[in-house]
Amino acid sequence: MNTTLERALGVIAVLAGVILGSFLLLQWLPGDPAQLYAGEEATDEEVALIRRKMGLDQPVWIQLGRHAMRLLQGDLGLSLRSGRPVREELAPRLAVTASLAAGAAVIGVAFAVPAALIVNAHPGGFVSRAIDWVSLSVLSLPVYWLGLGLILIFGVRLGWFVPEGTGRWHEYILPAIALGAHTGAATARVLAASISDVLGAAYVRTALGKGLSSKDAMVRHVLPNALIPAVTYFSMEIGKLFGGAVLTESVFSLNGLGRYLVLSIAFRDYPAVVGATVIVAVGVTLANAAADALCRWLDPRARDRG
Amino acid sequence: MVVVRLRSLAAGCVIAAATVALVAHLAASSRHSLPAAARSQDPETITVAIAAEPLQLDPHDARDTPSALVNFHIYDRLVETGPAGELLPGLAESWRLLPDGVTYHFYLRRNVTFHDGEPLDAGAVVANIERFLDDASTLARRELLAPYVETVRALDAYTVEIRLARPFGPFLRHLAHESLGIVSPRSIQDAREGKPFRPVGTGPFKLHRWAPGDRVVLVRRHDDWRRLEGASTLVFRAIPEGSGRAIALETGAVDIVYPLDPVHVERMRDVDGVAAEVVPGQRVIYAALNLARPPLDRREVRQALNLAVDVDAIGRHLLFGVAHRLDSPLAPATWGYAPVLPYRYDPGAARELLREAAAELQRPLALWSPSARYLHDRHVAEAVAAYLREVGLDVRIQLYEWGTYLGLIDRSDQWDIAILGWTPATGEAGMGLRPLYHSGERGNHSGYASEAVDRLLDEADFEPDTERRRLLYAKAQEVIAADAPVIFLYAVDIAYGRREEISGVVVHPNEILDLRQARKLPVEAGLRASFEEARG
Repeated sequence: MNTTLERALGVIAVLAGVILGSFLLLQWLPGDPAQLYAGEEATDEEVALIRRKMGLDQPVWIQLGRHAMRLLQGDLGLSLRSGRPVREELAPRLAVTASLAAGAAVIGVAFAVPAALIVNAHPGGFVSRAIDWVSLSVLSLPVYWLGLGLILIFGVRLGWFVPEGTGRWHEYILPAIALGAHTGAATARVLAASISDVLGAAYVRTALGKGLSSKDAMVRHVLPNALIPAVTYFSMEIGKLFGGAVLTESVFSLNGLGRYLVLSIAFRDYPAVVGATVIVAVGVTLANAAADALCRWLDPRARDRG
Repeated sequence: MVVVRLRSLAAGCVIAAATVALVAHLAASSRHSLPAAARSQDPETITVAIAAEPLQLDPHDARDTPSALVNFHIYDRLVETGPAGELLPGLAESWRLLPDGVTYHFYLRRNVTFHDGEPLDAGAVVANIERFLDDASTLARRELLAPYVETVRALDAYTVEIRLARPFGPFLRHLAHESLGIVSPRSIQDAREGKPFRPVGTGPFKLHRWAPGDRVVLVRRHDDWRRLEGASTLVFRAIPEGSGRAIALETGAVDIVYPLDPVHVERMRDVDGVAAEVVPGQRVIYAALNLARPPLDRREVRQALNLAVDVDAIGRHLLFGVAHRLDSPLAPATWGYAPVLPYRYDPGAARELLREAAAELQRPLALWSPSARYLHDRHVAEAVAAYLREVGLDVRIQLYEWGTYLGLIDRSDQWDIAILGWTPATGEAGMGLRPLYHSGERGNHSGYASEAVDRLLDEADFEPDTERRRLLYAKAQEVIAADAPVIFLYAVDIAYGRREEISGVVVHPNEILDLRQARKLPVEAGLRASFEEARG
């Protein structure tokens, strides 16, 4: 109970920090939303008019206070750039980014677990070495480069996927691969190392000595224990998935959260930036909480400790 | 125990995967709830990829190019601009300036209706103009009319009288600005009552659907007063990345990309089924010189800087041939342009003129440039700096993100040379010269003040006679060129790409993509047409 309360307070503190931080950073950044909106061709009168309309003629602390009050009521405010509610602008983009991140996570897991098992089952074998090579190459390729490569090969040359614009679910296949490959490769390496650690543990030797088949030992004893560090690592990757989504969305022309955030920063659109940042922070916090829960479920000791 | 847990783990994985698939599917299908007509194969639908989504379909309150582009098709203006920058009748069939020099009479076209069925009459036009004059108005385009118009009234059902506060030569150009679209009086009433604005005009297209963040769909109205013919549906989609737009065109996901990044122009010409077009634009890129910082206060130094930079080479090698050396402060596509500049690349002469100044100069010159605002601005800044070093100057480059740059350039006095761009909003010389070269104007970053130029520009402002105005602007261009308050660099072309079966696309020099008569030929017909073209 206490830990739950502590965590909830921690989450609230993180969110408050995120809001204050993103707001102030945008304020300190040179550049004026009214002037950016008006464009370089605008007259002084026009810029002043737009500044008044956006409420930017008020002191910063009043702007922050008002915005904080709105946020407390669950209102993300109006975008300075478009004048539309930030919530309405975020919702469809969040769906895009969440689908992308979820697809990438699935692809990452689908690669990592079999790959780690194979590498440990046949160390030094042809397939293992192939997996090592693929993982290493993927890890050293930036996500946008991988994305462009995939578009060129599967979209333009082979024509298997129209790179974008159909709006169907298979629009997400290539971007999810581009984004998930990195997570998959990194997690596979963590998991493989962890499995090989556990394989050397006394209880595994005992189980094998008792006559348990190596397959059963793997499934019953090795994997559950080896998964714990991998899950922890994977939960940290979720945050990176949101970060990587910025690049992936740009390469694949997906209208997601990442691209919206970049655009909003360029426009110094603070309600939009604060809104998007809060959503990402909540998403990452939830993912971490889920990973925590999963770890506790996998590891009875952690469960008992509470 | 362990087995049980593993089983439930497996089950959990399956459930999770199914959920993910479902969410992804739902998210994707919610994005795809547009009519089947919005697919690229449909001969009646033209899909256009633009660089950003429109922000505002209320033309009087819109400042961004994508909105202007969409609004251009929904609304008509009293006066229109032709592809060559000439003024044409729009909703006003004709007009007359009374001898007092400040009273205009506009005679409206009859039998024109708004998309909502309201008739276009003098009352509707008056309601539109009055919307700009309201003191409490916060319309983003208020400044186009409010400072100039004193009164507006209906003389009869189809005649509107607009009285100006003083004679103003470019007034008709202001009315032809894409923000001066005439809006249904009902929409204006709604907006006044705080209801959401309904984009209703008299244009050939009406709004079918606007999914912010995704696309705008326009459909052709059947009772268009011009009886224009062309594709019945226009879909505007935002693809911010230039290479994303190019790929979408190549794969046929879209029919038109606007703009097409110049880096792709050559390549697109080699792709089957795709055409790349380049038309002259009105944007000029120049380097403001800070006249408050010696030695830039000396005219011969500024002239020398203009001689020192090989703009032709920059255009050819850095900008894919879409940039052309300026021979005036204005781009040739601007109304009122006159070729006047005496500067040609001559590093020897520049070095000679600079000998004294360079020896006195104890500090490096600070050259500022935005990064990723204008086409290859960074590389251009580097090239300009390199040319200036060639003639013996020490130049340091500082690059800024656009928002930062725009905020700093006004306030800071720490720069000597600043790369900037300008597009005259109304497409004519007044808007291309006054904001940059009239003393005390906001866009006059150089701090240039010439009595002669101020007088010429003021006179042109008051001059209702078109030819006399043109002469005044020509003179002003001459004086500005000789004073060289900036390094005149180049005018930038506009490039767009289209699938070969698309025809009837017009790009106006003010960067408006006109699709009012665009059509898509079925592929076979398109082939036949290109055969015939090749033969003829």
